[in-house]
Amino acid sequence: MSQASEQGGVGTAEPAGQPMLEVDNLVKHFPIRSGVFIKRTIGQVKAVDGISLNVYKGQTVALVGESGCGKSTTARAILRLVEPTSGRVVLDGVDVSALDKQQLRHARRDMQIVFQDPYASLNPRMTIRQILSEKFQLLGSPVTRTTISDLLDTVGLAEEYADRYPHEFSGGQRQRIGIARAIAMNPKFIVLDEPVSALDVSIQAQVVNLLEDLQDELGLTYLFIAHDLSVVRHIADRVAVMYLGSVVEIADRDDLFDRPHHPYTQALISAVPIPDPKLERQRQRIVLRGDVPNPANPPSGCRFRTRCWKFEQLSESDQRRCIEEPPPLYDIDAGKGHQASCHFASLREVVRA
Amino acid sequence: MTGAADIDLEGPPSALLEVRDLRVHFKTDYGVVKAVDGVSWSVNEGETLAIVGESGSGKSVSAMTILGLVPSPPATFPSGDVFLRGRSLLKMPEKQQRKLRGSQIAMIFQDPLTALNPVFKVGDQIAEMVRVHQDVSKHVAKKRALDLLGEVGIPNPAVRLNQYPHEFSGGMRQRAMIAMALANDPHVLLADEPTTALDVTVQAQIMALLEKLQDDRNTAIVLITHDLGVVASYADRINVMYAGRIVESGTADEIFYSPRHAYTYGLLSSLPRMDQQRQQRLQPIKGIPPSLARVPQGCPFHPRCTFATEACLPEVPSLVSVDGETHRAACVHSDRVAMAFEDRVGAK
Repeated sequence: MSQASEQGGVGTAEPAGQPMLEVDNLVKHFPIRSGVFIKRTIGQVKAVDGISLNVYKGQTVALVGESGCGKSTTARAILRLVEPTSGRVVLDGVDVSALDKQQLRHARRDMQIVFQDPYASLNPRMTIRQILSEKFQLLGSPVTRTTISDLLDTVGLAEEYADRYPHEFSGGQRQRIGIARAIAMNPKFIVLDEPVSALDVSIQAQVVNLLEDLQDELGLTYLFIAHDLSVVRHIADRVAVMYLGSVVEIADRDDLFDRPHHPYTQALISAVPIPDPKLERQRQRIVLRGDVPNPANPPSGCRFRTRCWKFEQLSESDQRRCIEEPPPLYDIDAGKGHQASCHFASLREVVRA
Repeated sequence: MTGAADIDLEGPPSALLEVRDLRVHFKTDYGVVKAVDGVSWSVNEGETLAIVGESGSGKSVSAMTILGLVPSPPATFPSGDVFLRGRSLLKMPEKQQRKLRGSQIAMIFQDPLTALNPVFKVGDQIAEMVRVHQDVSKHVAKKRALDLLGEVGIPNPAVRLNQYPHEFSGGMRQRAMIAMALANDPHVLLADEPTTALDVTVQAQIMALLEKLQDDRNTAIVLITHDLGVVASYADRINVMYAGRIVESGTADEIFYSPRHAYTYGLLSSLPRMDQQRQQRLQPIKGIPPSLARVPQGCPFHPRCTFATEACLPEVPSLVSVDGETHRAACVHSDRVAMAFEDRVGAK
């Protein structure tokens, strides 16, 4: 995959100029250790294996894929919440990967994260005021009398909530507090790690709208990690699909949903049920075989080939190509930055067919 | 699809499984939590009935009650009964109830990891299910477990039989759960969020498996879920629950194309759609669901409802026919809801 990222992974037709976030060939391998007294490394889990992408100012790029595909690890490696094995991350001209500890702490002002589980990510022993003030104290900014109430107002919570504890809030309200904490220092870039997955449908829409409003008002740039493709179609400008640590397809939102080219993207989209019974009766679902392979021991060549529906239809010599040669990200539509890593990529409509 | 939506509360129960005016209350320090408060529905052979609702709407509790999985105390059952082929389940002696549970009615849970015992081999757990209800030898039960694992699409069933749950992936565990539920050829399968913990490609596999098994065995499936996409794809009939009550019921087409309750309307409007180019903005339902210990007076949805008027306050609206035989809604403003929905669809 890495050979393609040089020319390929960064392609996009989006606004000219410098991207807000540049990720270049990001790799995160976790060692597998064994032994009782002397730990020896016996293998590597290749959680993220050469990811490149650009996010422009005010844009939302979604990283989608199934559990274990490495999307959350990618986000954490970008923020250096886990140390990347290799690769470069540049945020607004600053090479984040080269910063020392002190500088990194300072740079965290500009890059924030909202976690999936609003129950686990807020300290139950601190009031909301303490949780939010801590942010300012850690980064050495003054907290005035109105700071916290303004912040709560921005995310649609009343000021009197400031002195309550997290358990007194519903899931949606807690997620608003998580968002308030992320935007407190006026960041340039926010990772949203499944921010609405734990919420009920009626609440989910409230939080999605809040995130969009904040993006408009504050000019925020989002990396949106999700597995729910319906929300992604609504909120994202560009979408990158991950499978076993690599991006297999990247395109502008409508291109990805209406003109998917990678067999995995097609299977993924076709598997999502649409709340429309008549449409569902005519839709054909691509049912994949088996489970995602072990990332410590991924298949040779194309990593998706063991579950690929297209692989089965190929001639033996074509199949050999999938087994032996890892597909680079091929340009599908260079002008729009649509790329897919499949030797035999072709269009298949899956949303309405 | 059989139109058994209208339940005659007086006459003899005729459906395969029928729930009548079921109430399940819990006494707590904060008051009486009315988890299920007067719910009636029925399901027939080969049919899929979906019970849709958000967390805390009482959808799971009603299914757990059918299987006698709700301990009393703290639960009380002020009214209601459950009939399987016309026989009252709740009035039956405990011993007889146990015979039916797991054999005639089986359940699949959301989280297969907590529902399987981690210290026993998967094959032994399935075989145990067989031996509890059938008088067969260990050897025969084990053979049956092997067949079941094969039937639910687990590769290498002979090897998998002797493995422990932690050696299975999430999708495989859910398949093992389904195998266990099918061990005694149940007539009714209660599936409580069977795919919520799974990835979409695995969800597609599991739902395809359930559909195939239903076709082969003519099983009735009660699908409890919050996912309206899953409901649209797999349900014949739908009950929408809110605050412990059914607020609307009808066929899948009735619910999705002509909703008559303001809550159903709100749910459908708040959904982002993968098949549509971006809408301007999602239309969320304001506020949050009520605590079941303090359900609002009158229509429980009125504080969050955009259609609400004074007419919603005096009493809880009852579930009445709105159009057609099968479509019922408990909403004072069902005509206004219908008009608003048509406008919304027309505007697109």
